[in-house]
Amino acid sequence: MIHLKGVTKQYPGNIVAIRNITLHIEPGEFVSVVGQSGAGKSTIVRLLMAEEAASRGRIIVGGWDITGIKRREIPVLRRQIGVVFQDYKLLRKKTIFENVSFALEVCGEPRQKIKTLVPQLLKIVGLENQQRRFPDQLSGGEQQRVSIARALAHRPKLLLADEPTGNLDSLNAQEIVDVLRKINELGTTIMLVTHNRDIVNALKKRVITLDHGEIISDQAVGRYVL
Amino acid sequence: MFYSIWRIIKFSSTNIWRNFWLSFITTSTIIITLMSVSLVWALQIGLKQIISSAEKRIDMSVYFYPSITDAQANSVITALKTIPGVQEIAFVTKEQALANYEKMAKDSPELLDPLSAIGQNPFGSSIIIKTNEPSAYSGVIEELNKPQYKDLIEGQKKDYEENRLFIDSFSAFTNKVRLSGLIISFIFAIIAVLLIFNAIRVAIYTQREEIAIMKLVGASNWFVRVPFLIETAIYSAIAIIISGGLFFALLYFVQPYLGIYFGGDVDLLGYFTDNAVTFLGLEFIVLASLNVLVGSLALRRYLKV
Repeated sequence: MIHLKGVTKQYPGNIVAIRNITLHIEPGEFVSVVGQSGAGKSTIVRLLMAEEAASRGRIIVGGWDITGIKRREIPVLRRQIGVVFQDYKLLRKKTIFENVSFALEVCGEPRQKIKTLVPQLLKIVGLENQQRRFPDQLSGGEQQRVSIARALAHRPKLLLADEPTGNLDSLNAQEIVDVLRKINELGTTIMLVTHNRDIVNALKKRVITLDHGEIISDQAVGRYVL
Repeated sequence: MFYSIWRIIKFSSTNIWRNFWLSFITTSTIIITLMSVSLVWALQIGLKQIISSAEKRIDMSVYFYPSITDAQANSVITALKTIPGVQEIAFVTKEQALANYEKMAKDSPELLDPLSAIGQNPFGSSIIIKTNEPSAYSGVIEELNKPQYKDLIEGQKKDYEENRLFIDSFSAFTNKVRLSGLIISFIFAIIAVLLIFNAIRVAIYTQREEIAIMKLVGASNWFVRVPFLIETAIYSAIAIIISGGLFFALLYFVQPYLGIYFGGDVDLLGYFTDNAVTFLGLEFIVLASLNVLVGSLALRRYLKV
């Protein structure tokens, strides 16, 4: 599903965010990428979303070599990947329903399909009764669940979750991880970027540990080792 | 495609309503700017009408000696007609001059008595010259100062010089007024463009996070850009309707007072009513072009996500 071959991301001023990373993630896997702040975790997410381009190496997502992706192809890539952000990134002036439906509208999905699909997605994350509310009227955990529902709108084969529990208390964080686990059981590949030790240890899934932009460990059933 | 267009229009109108205060402030800024532009425009038109009316009132009378025949006077007229800028020359015969005098003095016997005493028509014929613009009188005066007309025309050279001085200074004054009007309009147009430029930039800036989010969930640049452009076009259309309404209401209120001061010479209401389509259409075209240009430039920065 994801294949990084010798990927390096260097910023002006000789700042290296990740150095010569090679990793392979199979379809259907649930992988946690852990590391301290500045280890390069979020850089990997940004590269996979084509928010930034790699300085060296090759990036393949779902069989698509996106190393030299053209600007006009980026929206197409993003419609195939679901992304959940730490700060939810919800559209404040749109209702919960509209936030989720927006992801479908940008692809030109028919209105009838959107009307049927959005309530289903909100039901998966337990927000079927909050459709008409605005993000600011919801708790952090609920907003993050809206973000997950939106990420699932395209039925992506890959879901990137960049510190999805970073702004949540432990109870809400656990609920979010449970939702992600449920989605993974339905066949979606999950890459969870986090520095939450308890969550990673409780998951008992593959763990990739980054330190100073390099992979220092990759365990099939891992623990948070830093 | 159909879905996209419908959705884009829906997004634009919903966005305007949900960002009510931002929409209100942006539209108000555009309304105030348009009102100011309209007022400067009206001032410019008013000045033009005043100048043109004053120019129309200027004419120059040339009086011939009583002994001069109509044929001799006609030779002067022929020569004057060849001068560039001469628009009209009216010939007043000796008989008409006498009739005019008698009409004017009909209630004043003391003015008519001398005529009876003379026993003949003491008036010479005359001509009244009008030109397209005041500066053309210089050519007329130059012609009349030629030696061959010395024995035909009454009055001294000095009279013409006084005329020349008045006409020249009036000409210079109107030119200065016109130039000042143009400079003020130009400066104001630049200020207006900057104000609108800023209003639209601020409107887009406040929504920069939304733009980034739209891009991150897979919206194409077109899908993000067009609703914003439609939004600013709607702001413009509303602003033009409101400012146009206010402007015409103001003209309707002020026109009677202009009539009192300037007679029928200054008719701003008539001018703007006759040219309403051009006036409002031009405002919309300039504003819409400005919106597309500024909107595209301002958005470009936030679309690089």
